[in-house]
Amino acid sequence: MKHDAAFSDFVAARQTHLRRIAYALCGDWHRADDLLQTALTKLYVAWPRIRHEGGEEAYVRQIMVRANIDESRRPWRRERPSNQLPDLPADGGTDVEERSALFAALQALPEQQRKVIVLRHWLGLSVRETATELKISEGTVKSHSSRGLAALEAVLSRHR
Amino acid sequence: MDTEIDWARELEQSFGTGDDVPVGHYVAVGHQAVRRRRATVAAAGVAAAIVVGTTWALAPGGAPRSDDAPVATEPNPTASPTSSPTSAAPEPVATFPWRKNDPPARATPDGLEIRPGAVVHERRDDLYPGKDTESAALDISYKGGRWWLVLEWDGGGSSMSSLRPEDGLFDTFDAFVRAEVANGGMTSGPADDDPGMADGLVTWRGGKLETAPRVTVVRQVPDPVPGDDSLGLVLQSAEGTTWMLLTQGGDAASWSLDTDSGWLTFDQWLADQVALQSGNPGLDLVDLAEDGTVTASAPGVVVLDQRADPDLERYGTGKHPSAVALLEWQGERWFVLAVGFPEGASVTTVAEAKAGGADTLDEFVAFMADRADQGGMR
Repeated sequence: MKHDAAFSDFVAARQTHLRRIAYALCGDWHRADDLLQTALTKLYVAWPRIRHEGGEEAYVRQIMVRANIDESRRPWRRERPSNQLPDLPADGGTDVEERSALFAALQALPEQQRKVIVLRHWLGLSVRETATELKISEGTVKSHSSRGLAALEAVLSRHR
Repeated sequence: MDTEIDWARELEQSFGTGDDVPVGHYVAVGHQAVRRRRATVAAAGVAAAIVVGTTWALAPGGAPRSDDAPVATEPNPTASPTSSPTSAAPEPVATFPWRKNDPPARATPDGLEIRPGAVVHERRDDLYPGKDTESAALDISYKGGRWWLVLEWDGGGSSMSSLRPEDGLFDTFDAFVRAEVANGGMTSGPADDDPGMADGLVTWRGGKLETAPRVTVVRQVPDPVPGDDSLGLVLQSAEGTTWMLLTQGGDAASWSLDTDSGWLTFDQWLADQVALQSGNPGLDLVDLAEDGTVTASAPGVVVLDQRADPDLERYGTGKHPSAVALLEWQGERWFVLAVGFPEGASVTTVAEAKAGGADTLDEFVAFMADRADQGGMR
């Protein structure tokens, strides 16, 4: 079935990146898996209608971004079996301590700030695109962006 | 802010990657979601949850609402979940008439509306806390009949899944609600709601089939999916022969080049698609047991050889019960790869003639491993 084949091709090519987006949003690999599965299931159902190039990834990202991440960060949701998925370090020059500190700082941001940072400054969306994705004003995007980056910069400074 | 910080690079390197999940897992979950959403009552009265979607331009009653048209809503929208029956809903001033066979509740642009005389036994609100929609699940009686409903709505429209408990699809109201929630609820359509030409080959609107230039319709099978407005097609184009199934009146489509499908004939492919769209597992020739044993599940299927737990981890073997098998059916030899995902078994069927020259299970496993990068064989 072409539907399946095309969907499979997309998932095979993009699931690693999409899972990282989910993880950046929620800071928990299990929850990231849940988020991604929910989003990919909805994508599968909607697949025949999502034809325009690039629409698939934006659709999945939008579902994950608009999820109420912090609702899932309550302690009871985090009590899971200890068989954690490995957090494999990415290649690059940043040392382990700094990686942990920056990511921890990102997770410590308020939910909306964190989403703005991920979309605007990691994924490279414009202010307008970020505002549209999060259904907030461009001014709010700029405000969240400024405050979020300031908090992250303070962490980077301490570890340099 | 230090403008010299390359935030994209810093963030990119601030964490690693998780473990990829076999693609087949997501396909199996997607199949299950499609089955739930497409479940319809066939002419024979098959038990199923009925899923109905509505846009407010086509609100209950079929006419657009004027802003001053009063629509009564249930007076206690925050009713707490309880298993004890509550009193009958008061008489609302309905803008849209209730039709005889309508479920006893519906979503309107102003909120949830309970049919006069209905009794709510249990209600759960906000089923999808991560979404910008309102939702409710109702265990409700009306004129001696019991209904389980899940409704979701926002500014653009609504969806409702309805079930009669006596049909036995779910043992409990809780199981029904959990299944609906797991399904993710209402899916928003993209901004461009025109599905355009399926695979660039055809459109089918209002029963009218139009082809792109240099596309020939070789064969049409009208209404192959019970209870759906559907059309099966064999199309010839410069790309080759395409098998296609249009459903939902042309809003949705599945298709495959005949060379990309594991099935030998259009009729086999169509039977598989129709089974899937009708809420069945598809045209599966085998069943898979927990121990990886394969048994014939269709008339005339003979299992010639089989092996449990093949080394095809990218399809989900290893973590789940799995097997490959060689079959004989309808005078042909077939290979199958069966993986028992928790959401349901996924069976990939490939005619020997389409298995890249494979003659043995080893060769079939090697063929499927080669196809993994392309999403497998469908």
